[in-house]
Amino acid sequence: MSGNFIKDSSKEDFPTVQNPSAPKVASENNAGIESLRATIKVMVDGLEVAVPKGETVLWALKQVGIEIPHFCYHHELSVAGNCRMCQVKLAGVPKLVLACCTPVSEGMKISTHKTSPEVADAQRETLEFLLINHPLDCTICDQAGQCKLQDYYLQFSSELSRFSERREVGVKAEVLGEEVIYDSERCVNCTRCVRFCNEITKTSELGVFNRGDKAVIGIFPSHPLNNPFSGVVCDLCPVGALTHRRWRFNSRSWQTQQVKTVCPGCATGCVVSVALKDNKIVSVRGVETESDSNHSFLCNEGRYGFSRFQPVERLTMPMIKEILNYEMLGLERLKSKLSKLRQTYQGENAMFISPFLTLEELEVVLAFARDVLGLEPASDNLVLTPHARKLTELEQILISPNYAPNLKAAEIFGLIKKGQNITWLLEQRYQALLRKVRNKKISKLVVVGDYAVCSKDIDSELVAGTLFAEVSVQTSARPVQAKNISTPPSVRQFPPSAGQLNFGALHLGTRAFCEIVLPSRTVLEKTGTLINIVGVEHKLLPLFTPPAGCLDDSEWLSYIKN
Amino acid sequence: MKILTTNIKLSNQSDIHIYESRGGYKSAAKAMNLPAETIVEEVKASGLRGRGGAGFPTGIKWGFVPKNQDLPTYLVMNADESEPGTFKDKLLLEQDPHLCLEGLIIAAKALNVHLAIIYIRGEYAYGATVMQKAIKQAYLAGYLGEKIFKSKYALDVILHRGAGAYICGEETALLNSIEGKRGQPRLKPPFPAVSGLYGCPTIINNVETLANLPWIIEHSGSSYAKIGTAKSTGTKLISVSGNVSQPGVYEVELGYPVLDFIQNECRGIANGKKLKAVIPGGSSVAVLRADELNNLKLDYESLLAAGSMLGSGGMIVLDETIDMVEVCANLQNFYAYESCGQCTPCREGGHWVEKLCRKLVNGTGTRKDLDLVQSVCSGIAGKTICPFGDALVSPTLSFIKKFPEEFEKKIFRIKTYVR
Repeated sequence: MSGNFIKDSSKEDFPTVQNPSAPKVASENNAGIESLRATIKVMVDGLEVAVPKGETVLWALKQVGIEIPHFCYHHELSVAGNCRMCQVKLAGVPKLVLACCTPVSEGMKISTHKTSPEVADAQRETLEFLLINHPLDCTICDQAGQCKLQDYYLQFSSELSRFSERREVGVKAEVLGEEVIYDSERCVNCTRCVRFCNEITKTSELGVFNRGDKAVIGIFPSHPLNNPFSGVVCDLCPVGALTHRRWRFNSRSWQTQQVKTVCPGCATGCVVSVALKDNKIVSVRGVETESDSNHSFLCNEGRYGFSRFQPVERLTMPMIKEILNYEMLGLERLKSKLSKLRQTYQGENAMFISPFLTLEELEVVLAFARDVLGLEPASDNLVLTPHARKLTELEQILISPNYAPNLKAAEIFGLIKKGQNITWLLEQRYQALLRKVRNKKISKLVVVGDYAVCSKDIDSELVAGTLFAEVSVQTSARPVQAKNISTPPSVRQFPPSAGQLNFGALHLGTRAFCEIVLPSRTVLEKTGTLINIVGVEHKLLPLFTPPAGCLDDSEWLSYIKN
Repeated sequence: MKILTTNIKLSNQSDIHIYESRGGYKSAAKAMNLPAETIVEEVKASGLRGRGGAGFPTGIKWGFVPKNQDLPTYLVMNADESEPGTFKDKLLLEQDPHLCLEGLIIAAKALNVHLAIIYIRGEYAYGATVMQKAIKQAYLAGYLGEKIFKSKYALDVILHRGAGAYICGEETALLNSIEGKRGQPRLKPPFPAVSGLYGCPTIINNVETLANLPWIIEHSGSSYAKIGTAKSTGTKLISVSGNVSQPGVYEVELGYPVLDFIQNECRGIANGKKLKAVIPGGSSVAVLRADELNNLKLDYESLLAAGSMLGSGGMIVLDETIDMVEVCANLQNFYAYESCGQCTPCREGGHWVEKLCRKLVNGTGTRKDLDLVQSVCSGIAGKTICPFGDALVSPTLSFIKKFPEEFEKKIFRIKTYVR
C-alpha cells in the first residue's frame, strides 16, 4: 500500500536516487484527493450522510464522525477482517457485513449498533469471545487506559462473562526483539503487527503460529524483530499484547501528561504523542493526522531516542572567555560587553545556523544576520549547518536522509534554493565557511542554536589568535546514530562517540573558541512551527520547562540587537 | 446407473492401459476438438452440481471467470477430502485416478487452463502415490504436457500434497496453502473465480465433480440431466459409515430414498439394531431423526427441505445404542481442534462450545450450560469469514433440538432425598 510514502522528499535530497515514477505517484495522490472530495449519499441509522466515495463503510463513516469499533482494521494495512467487531447491517443483505471491507455505494442503508439490535448483539458476542481467554490483568498492563478492548467493553458490552470454564493459559512475556515483548494471553490475534512487517517494512519477522485458541504471534527461529521500525507494532497493537521493553511497567497512561508535538529528528516531521511523567519521557507514539506525514508510524530512532536532544548538564548563565577560563557573567556586564562587540561588527562576518530552529526563530535570526552582520540569506557566510546520514533502503520508507526538521522553512527564507541537492550543497557551504574560520578570514562569527557547529570541527588552537563573538548555546555531537539508540537498556543518554563530546561536557567545544556563550533552549523546550520536507506545517510544543535564564535563540538575538 | 464406479473393482485400474482399454481418454480427445464454449454449455445443460458439499452448479461457477483478460486461469482439483464421514474421493483417487485426470483435462480445456493443480489431502499418502504415477503415465501417453492429444493445447498438472488441516478443504484456504501461506480462508469477495491463486482467476472443483465430466462429454449434457431428479441431476457417491451392516462407498442415482438406500445397499442396520438417526452429508450438516427419514430422498432439495444438506455425501448412520450427547461432543472436539484461529467467533467460540459439550457428557453440565451452548452457537453462526462457523453450529443445534431428552438426562441435578 504505502511502500515509500515520502519518496517525494528523498528525490529532493538525492537526485541520483530519484524515482522515475514519482510524478505518477503525485498524480495518483491527487486522484485520491479528488475521489475523496467526491461524496455519495448513504443512510446511516436513518439519517442521510454524505460520505467520501470509493472508501470502505468504516473509513467513510469515520470521515463523517461515526466510529465503528474495530481491532484488526488499520487504514495503512491490508484488510484482514478477522476481528469481526465492525459488523454492520445493510438493508437487503441477510447476513451482517464487515464495515472494514465493504465499499460504500450510493443509497446504501447502513444500520449500526445504535439502531440495530442485531449489530449490537454481534458486537457484544464478539467482545465476550475475545474476553473468555483474556487474563484481565489490566491492573499491571501498560495499555490500560488506552486499550481498545477496555474501551469497547465499556461502550458496547459491560456485561459479566458467562464463561466459567478453565481459560487457556499462554506465554506471558515472550521477547520478540530488542525493543518488543509479547504477551500471548492479551492478544486478540488481529494480525496488525504481522501485516505491518509483511507490507510496510517487508521484513516479515512476525507470523501467526498454531491453530484455534492456541494461535499466537511469534517470530521465526533466529529472526528476531529488530527492524528500524519495530516499535511501531506496539503502537499498532490495539490491546496490551505488544509492549515496549524499555518502557514496560513505567507508568499508567492516566498518570502521564500527553503532549502532541512533532519529532524534530529529521525532515519527515512525524507527529507524535509524548507521554510525560515527572518531567521524564515515559513513552512516545506516532499519531495519525490529517496531513499524514508519517501515516501514524514512527522510526525507532525517533521514538526511543526522543529525549536525545535534552542534555543532562547544561549552561544556565551567560559566560565570557577570560584569559584561561570562562567566567559567569552578570546581565550588567553582559550588556556592556555586547555593546562593545556591536561597535566592532565590521569586516567579514559569518554565521552558523542550527538546523533545529523553528520557523519563527529563523525569521529573527535572518533579520539579525541582515541588519547587524550585513549577511543576505544567499550569502556564502550564512550557513545552515547540515546534518544528514546515509540511510538503508528500509529506513527510507519513513526517515528522511536530511536531519534538519525545518528544512522547508529555510527554503522559504531563501537560505537554500529549491530543487537543489540540499544535503550535498549544505555540506559544501559548511566546509567552505569552516575553512575560512580556520584560516582566520572571519572577524566575527555568530553561532546560533543546537548543533550549529560540530565540536569536532573546531579545534581549540583556533582560539589563540582570534576572538569570536558567539551567541551560542548548545553545541555538541551530531544527532545520535540509529545503531546507537537501538541498544537497550540505556539509550536515554547520548552515547559519546569518537571525536565528539557528550552532553556531560556540553559547552566545552563551543567555549573553546567563543568569546561569549549564552544559554538557550533545546528543541524540546521550544514552541514554534516546523515545516517538514513535503511542506506540511507542524506545531512544536515544549515538553520540558527550560531552566531559568535560558532564553529562546531569537530572544537572545533581539537582546543583542538592542 | 453407474457413472463413476464402473471401473472400480477391476484389478490394476490405476494403470493407464487398463483405463484406455475400457474407453478411457476418448472423451478428453473429443473435448480437444470442441470449442470451450460448447463444453461449458454441455456442463450447464447437464445440471451437474458441485460434489464437494455446497452443491453449486458447476457450469454456472465456470461462467464466473472473467472473459478476455490477460491473466492466466488456473484449475484446482480439490482432493482435500477431510470432512468427517466422507471418503468418496479416496476411492476415486486410489482406484480410478485416470478418470479424475480425464475430467481435469476436459475442465481445463473448457476454461482455457494451461496449469492445473491437484491439491490432495496430506493423509492420502497412498492416493497421492497412485495419482502421481497416473500423472506420469498420462504425460508419457501424450495426454498431458505440450500438444496434448496431438492438438495445439498444452496442459501441465502438478500434484500438491496438503499438510493435514481440515480448513484447507475450503477453497480460499486451499489456495493460500498452495501459495505456501498459512492455510486460512480469505475474505470474499473477491471470489476465486475472479482473483484466486496468485491473484489470477481460479476454478476449484471437487474430484467427484470432475470425474463426472468424461461421461457428460461422451453422452451429452442432456442425457446426464435425465438421470436423477430435475434439480439434482446425475449420480452421487455416498460414503456410508457407522452402524450399518455394509459400510462403504455407493454410487446412487440422486433422488434415491434414504431408508431404501440403507436397507438395500448397506444391508440394513448392523446387529439387528434399530435406526436412530442419520447425518446425511458429512459431519457439518444437521442430523436427521429416524422418523424424519420416511419418504425422504437423497438429493439436494429434499434434504435441504428436511433441514439438513446432502453436503459431501458422507453419511453417518447411528443406531439406538449411540449416545447423542457424546456424538455431539466428539464432533465439537474435532471442530475446536481444526479451527484455524483466524477470526474471533470460531477461534474462541468453537472451544467454548467444546468445553461446554464436554461438561454435558461428563454429567457436570447444568441447564444453564445447555442454554449457553445454544446462545454461543448463535454468536458464531454466520459471523465468520468462512463456513466453518456454520459447520460447527448446525450439527450442535440440531442435536440439541432433535434429541432434547438425551441432553436433559445428562444435566446435573442436585438430588433431594425425602425421608
